[in-house]
Amino acid sequence: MLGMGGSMRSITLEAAPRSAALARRQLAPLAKAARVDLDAVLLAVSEAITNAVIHGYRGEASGVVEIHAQADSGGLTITVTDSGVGMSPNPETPGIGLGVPLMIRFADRVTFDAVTDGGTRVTMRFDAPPR
Amino acid sequence: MKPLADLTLESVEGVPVAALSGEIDVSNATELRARISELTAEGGGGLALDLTAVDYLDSSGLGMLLRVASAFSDHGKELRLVVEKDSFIASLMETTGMDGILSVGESRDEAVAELAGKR
Repeated sequence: MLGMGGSMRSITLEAAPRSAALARRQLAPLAKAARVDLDAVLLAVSEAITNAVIHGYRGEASGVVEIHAQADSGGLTITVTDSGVGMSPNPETPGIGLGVPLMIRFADRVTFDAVTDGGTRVTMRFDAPPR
Repeated sequence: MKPLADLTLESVEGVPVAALSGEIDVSNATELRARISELTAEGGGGLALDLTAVDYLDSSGLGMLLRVASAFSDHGKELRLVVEKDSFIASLMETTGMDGILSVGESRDEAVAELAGKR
């Protein structure tokens, strides 16, 4: 599901591993238009979705991941929200615990919030270089 | 749906050389690790794994590479990665310190020569 309005994009994807690639495809044009570091955006968003699928939903495609991206004159803000069980460790993961450190490293600012009805919201800001 | 990544294997001067292309993430990292292990189950020495045609790789991909290298090491084999200089993957390897844990070079020929020299 895709909603567009100017430089905003909202995407709702199944909480499944393949959704990370789908989100990368859909957000790339907006990141390019916002003049932010495309590789950094794709990596950080993909890590956030991976966390939602692996940690939030424990690999069960029983929910959705909501992605909202808003471009402005200074860059791009992206939120990734799930309704899972939170960011508790999951030993059944192909990763090596680098997802959160990579989000922090490649976004200019990151916040992690517990959603009131369960789940996690990750908000990432990517600054565009000065013109 | 078209696979995100492709894996090919060839023999160069008797050294197995695998080439990955496409994207490596949470959706295919575990499967790719199994395929690499399967393709290289027989034979000793090592494997040159060429990542220069990989367009995208994240922490799931790094985990896959680390686990492949660890499994190789357990069997007395060596994994040599080939990564394009100044690429995002090279930057990712450096940022995470993986370039100090894994054997990473920029040339497939050098990787093959080094592995051939150790047989």
